[in-house]
Parts: sequence; structure tokens; C-alpha cells
Amino acid sequence: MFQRILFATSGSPASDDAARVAFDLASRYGATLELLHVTGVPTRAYSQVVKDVRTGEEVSVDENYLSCIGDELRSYYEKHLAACTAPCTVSIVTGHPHREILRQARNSGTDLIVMGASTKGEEGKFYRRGMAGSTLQRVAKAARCPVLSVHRPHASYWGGIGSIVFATDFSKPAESAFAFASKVARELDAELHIFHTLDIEKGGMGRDMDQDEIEGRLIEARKRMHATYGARMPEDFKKWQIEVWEGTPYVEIVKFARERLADLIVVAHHASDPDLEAARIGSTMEQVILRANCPVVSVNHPDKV
Amino acid sequence: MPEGKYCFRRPLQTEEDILHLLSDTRGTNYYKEMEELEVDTADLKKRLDATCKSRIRTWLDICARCGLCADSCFLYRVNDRAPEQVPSYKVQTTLGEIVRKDGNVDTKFMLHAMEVCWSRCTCCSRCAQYCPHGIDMGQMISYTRGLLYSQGFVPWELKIGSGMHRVYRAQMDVTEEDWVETCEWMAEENEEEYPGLTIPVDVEDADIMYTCNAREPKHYPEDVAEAAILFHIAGENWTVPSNGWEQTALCMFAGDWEACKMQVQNVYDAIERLRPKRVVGTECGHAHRASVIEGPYWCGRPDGKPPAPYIHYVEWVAEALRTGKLKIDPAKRIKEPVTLQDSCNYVRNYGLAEVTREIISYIVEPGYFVEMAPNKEYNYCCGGGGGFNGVGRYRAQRNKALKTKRDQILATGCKLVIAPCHNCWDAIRDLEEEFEIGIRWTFLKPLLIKMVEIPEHLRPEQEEE
Repeated sequence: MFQRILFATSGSPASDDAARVAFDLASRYGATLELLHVTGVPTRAYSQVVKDVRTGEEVSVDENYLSCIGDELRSYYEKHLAACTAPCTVSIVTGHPHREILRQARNSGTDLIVMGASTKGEEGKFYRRGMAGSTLQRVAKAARCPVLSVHRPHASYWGGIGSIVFATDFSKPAESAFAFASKVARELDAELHIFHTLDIEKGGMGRDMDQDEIEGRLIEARKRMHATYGARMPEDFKKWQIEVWEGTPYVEIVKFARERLADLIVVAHHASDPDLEAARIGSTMEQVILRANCPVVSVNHPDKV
Repeated sequence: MPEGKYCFRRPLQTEEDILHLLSDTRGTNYYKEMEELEVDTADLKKRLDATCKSRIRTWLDICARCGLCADSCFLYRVNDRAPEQVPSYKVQTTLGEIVRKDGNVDTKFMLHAMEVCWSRCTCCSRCAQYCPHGIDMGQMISYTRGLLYSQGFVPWELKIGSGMHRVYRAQMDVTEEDWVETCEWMAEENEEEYPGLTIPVDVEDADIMYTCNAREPKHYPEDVAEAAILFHIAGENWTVPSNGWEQTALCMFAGDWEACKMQVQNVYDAIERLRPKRVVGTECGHAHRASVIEGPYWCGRPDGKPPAPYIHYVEWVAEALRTGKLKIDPAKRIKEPVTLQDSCNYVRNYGLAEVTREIISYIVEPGYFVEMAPNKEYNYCCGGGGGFNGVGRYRAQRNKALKTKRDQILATGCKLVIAPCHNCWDAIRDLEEEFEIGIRWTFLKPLLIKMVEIPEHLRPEQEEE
């Protein structure tokens, strides 16, 4: 199902949960695993000098430096690497993290990127480029393949993926997310919960919707989901169901996933908001990632689904 | 020791040379060897005879050391008005000495001259406006850098930088293949949001050929994508050359005039090959100076002009806004106090001050634009010009120099600084990192993309709902 997984790691505790998932997925599904660590961010203008992301020191990049960092990373993941049955490689590069992750994914033909959700407090100010949005947000926006991230420790995952929540807002990226979610569910024989939230704040356009209107819209949404997704489910795959709740999308998605003991949440990434800063704060995707206690996959493009 | 393993007079000519010097982390051995590097006085004399002509000699001669240039120099002001920072002093004690001694100078002198030329002057030429004789000290220092470079006395990063131009015809190791690949990648990354977006490579007879800064494809190709998106929205018939796309010239900062000619000639060859109606360069100050202002003379072009009209990015933006090719959604204009950094190289030294202000009139809600003081052609250097930003050896001096810009920005009360120049952008980024005054800084491209109206026929297909 996954042939080439790219695990973009900070090589620090912020990526520990993502590491568990990345190594486990690779072993479980027989994919190759590529560990990528962006170690230094270009600084001093045009010079070849980079700022080491962990120490904050300026260093000149050479083979020696890169191989030292590579050794450190290998020892950090020593146990994982020893236990992993999949072929693993380690790449150490310099550059702006989101850009280098995207570059590597493109070059390697990656079909799943796994990354930690946040290195806040670790990455400091070195990543700043006067450009808004987190590394994850930027990667999720542009990656041609699904991007999986993990923020909170999760226990339910150890049995593999048995329950998937696909949260839809009927957007175009949601089409790609659906394609991915349904493919994973069928291949892993997992339950697929197709879920939509009626956004009561946005839906009311600034006024409170009365209960009849909410209920009417819920019925409407259910119909639409049956037509949009239900109709496309193969005959032989029965483990899917549709649910619509009203509320604030990210809250409802997280609650719903908890109730269905989800091992994986699949959401569409929203590229429509040109202001990444606003998107970062308000994005359903990022909120879900921060709050859910299972891995979250964001899908934006149909290419590698 | 005549020449060292890392420090020598000859330029870096091959990839191997570059890697070898890069392997000397921070240039530690390079600078150590430089302390022993002998001056080839015969060669220096020969060079003086061949290149130090009447203009420079007259300037040196008529400079009355009156000191009127002193207060014009931000480095003089920010360094507690040290007499050693007076522009005329800086020139007279370096170039003046070399000329007076007819090249008969020693290693210790050259080391001192290197320090003066790369850490006490950014070649911003602000002083030239205050000299009663019209002497351009920036030009004089720049000329001196050339003499120093020819003798191997040049900061490590700039020796490498000019080597990059010689080997790759770019300031970084970006090959033709990397560049074309990056163009494809960026088109691919944005074609969904902007249907029909392409980055056409090597199209002949286009209206516009675009050139940029190698750091864009190397580290933040978003910039290339943004340029493409704006040309696309404006409906321009444009192209990039597969070879000759790099507009910058670190070799100009290094004083490596031979590499300067090679670099710019490469761009001119692309212009002659593709015959665009005109060329648009990216948001970079020194690149404009190299390819538009000085380049024609380096390449010995008799009319003193590039092979086709060559405009700065801000000129294209102003024109596109003026003619309505780009339309700003008035609701999306900047509605917070915002200031503008004037780049020395295309504002003071090329006169584009009003052009950038015309852009401001379209993108900033009236009443929110705050000028720095002083501004336009009298603006101070960002603090990192002329190569200062990239030199590790002079980092402390550079950081001190940034205080001028920091205080100018603080005085405006703005939290947003528009800096349509790579070098200024870097310096302002660094000053925020150094002093944490809580500002944001930006090129024009990302701002424009946020506020430009996309014509109906270029929008992605409407989704349901």
C-alpha cells in the first residue's frame, strides 16, 4: 500500500510519536523508509554557512558535519532501526525544512510523508523567513502525497489500523482525501467512518440557526454524503458508515474519532486561504492534529493517493 | 610564504577548487595563511598603471579631507564617530597609500586594507551626495577591492562566491539542470491553484525574459513560483533562459572583475539568443547594478546598455499596476503602518525611488505608509550591503552596523517593512534576529499575490457549494 515512506524528523523528542508510527507503518506494510533530517538553515546571506537547528550555532557544511549528524540520528533511532524490518536510509540535508522535505519527496517518489506536528520550543527562530505558516502547514499544502503527522501519544495504534475516520467538507481536496481513506480502509480491511460537521458558526452566516434549520441541514448533508461517497463504495466492501454532527468542525472531528476509537483520521488540506498565518491559526487540519490522539493524514492532491 | 594551500592569488576556477576552500571551515586556515601571503608588488604596480586612470587619480588628488562626508556615512555614525570611519580617511589610507607608494605595500598593509574595504564600507555611495567635489568613495572602495582581490586579499566567503560565478555562472552551485527542474517543480506545485500556469523555458522572441538570484532556486523556489504567478495573472508572454538566468554577481562584491564580465556576458548571451523585447530582473539591488548599470561596461558594450531594455522588478510591478495588468483588490490593501526600505543600488544609484512609491500607492491603504527618515536617495544602507551580510569574519561589525536601520525602522513605528532587495531583506531579517524588535519583512511578490485580483478566466474551476 505504501511503498516509499519519507519520515521527516527533527531527531528530537518532538518527533518521537511520529517515529513510532513511521517505523511501524514501514515494517507492517513493507515499505522502504527514508529518514530525512534538515539540520541547518541557510544564514549569513549568500554564504555557504548554515545555522544548526539544534545548537543555533553557525556551521560550515561539509561532509564531516553531515556524517556526524547522520551518526547522531542513527544512534537516536538505534532501537527503531534495529527492530524495523523494512529497508531504511538516512538523509541529512540543509535548507529550509518545508522546502527540503518537499524536494526529497518529489525526488524519491514518496507516497507518504510522516512528520511530527510541532517542534515549538525546539526549532527556535532559525526557521523564520518572514514567511508565515508552520513547516507542516507548508508541506501539507504542497505535497503531492498524503502527509501523516502525529502530535499526541496514542495507545490504540498498536494493533494496526482498524478504524479510520474520514472527515469531509465536500471540497475538491476532500475528493483526494476520500480516495486515500477508502483505499486504505479496503486494503487494510478497516472500518471507514465518513464524517461531516455542519459548521454552525459559518453555516449561520453570523446569525444563530434555529434547530429546525440545523436538523434540515443535517438531513441534507447525509443525503449528499450518500450520493457523493456511499455510491462509490465497492459492492464487496461493507465496513463503512456515514455520520453528520453539528458544531465546530475540529472539535466534532476529534470527539467523533475518540468515540469510534479511530486509529487514523484523514482530512483534506485547505489551500484556499492565501494567508497562511490565518490558515495556521484557524485551520481545522492543524487543530485536529494538535488535539487528536491518533495519527492524522492530510491530503491535498490526487497524484499519489 | 608566497602562497598557501588555501590562500593564494589566483581565482577559484573549478568545482574542486571550491570544495577545497569550502572544506577549510570558516576559512580558518585561509586567513592564517593570508597573514603570510606576500604582495606581488610588480603585478600591483602593473595593474595600477593599467586601470587607475584619471578619474580615480583626480578624485584622490582633489579630496581635501574636509570631512563633509563624515556624517553622511552610517558606519561613521554608528561607530561613535570614530575618525577612522570617515569615508575620505578610509579611502586615503587604503587606495591613497597604494597609489602614492605605486603598489609598494606589504602584507600587513593589505590585511588592513581588506578590513577597511569589506567591513567599514558597503559601497552604498551615500557620501558621494555630500562631497563638494562629487567624489564617490563607494566607487573608490570598490576599485580598491579589485586590487586586493587580485592579490588574494579577500574575505573567504567572497573568494568562494566569485568562484561559484566562475564555475557555475551562478552565486551558488545551481546547475542548468537544477534550474530547469526547479522551474518545472514550481509550475507543478502551483498549477492547481493557477490553472494554466507554466514557467516557459527558452522561448524565443518573448515579451519578457526573467532573471533571478540563485538563492531563489537553491533555497526558496517559492520566489520563482511567485514571479511566475504574477506574470501569469498579468497575462505576460514571458520566459526564462535555461542558461543565463542568474542575475547576481557576488564577484562584484569581491572585486573579481574578470568573473563579473563572465557572469554578465552569460546573461547577455541569453538575451541575444532568445531576443526578448525586454528583460525583467528580480527583487535584488546588486543584481540590477551588475547586470544593468555596470555590466554593459564590463562587457565593453559601446552604448553602455544591455542588449535589450533591462528593468528592475519594481519597474515591472509599477507598470503592471499602472496599466491595469495587475489589479489590486482595494479591500485587501495593507491596512497597518508599513514602511519601505530603499535599496542603495537601484534607488540612490539608479533613481527608482518614485517607482517604488507608486507601487505603495496601489497596495497600501492611504494613510498607512510611513517613510523612513531619511529616505529615497538619502536612505541609509540596510547595514549589510556590498557583501557585508555574508562575511563571517566581520559579523560583529555588521551586526553593529544594523543598528542604523533598526533605529530608522523603530522610529517609523511600523511592524511591517517592505524590502524589495535580497540584500536588504537579509539584513532586516538578521536585525530582527539580533535585536528582536518584533517586525515582519517582506518582498513585494508575496504581498501582491495576496491582494491581486485574479481574472475570471484564470481562476480554478468553481467547486460546488
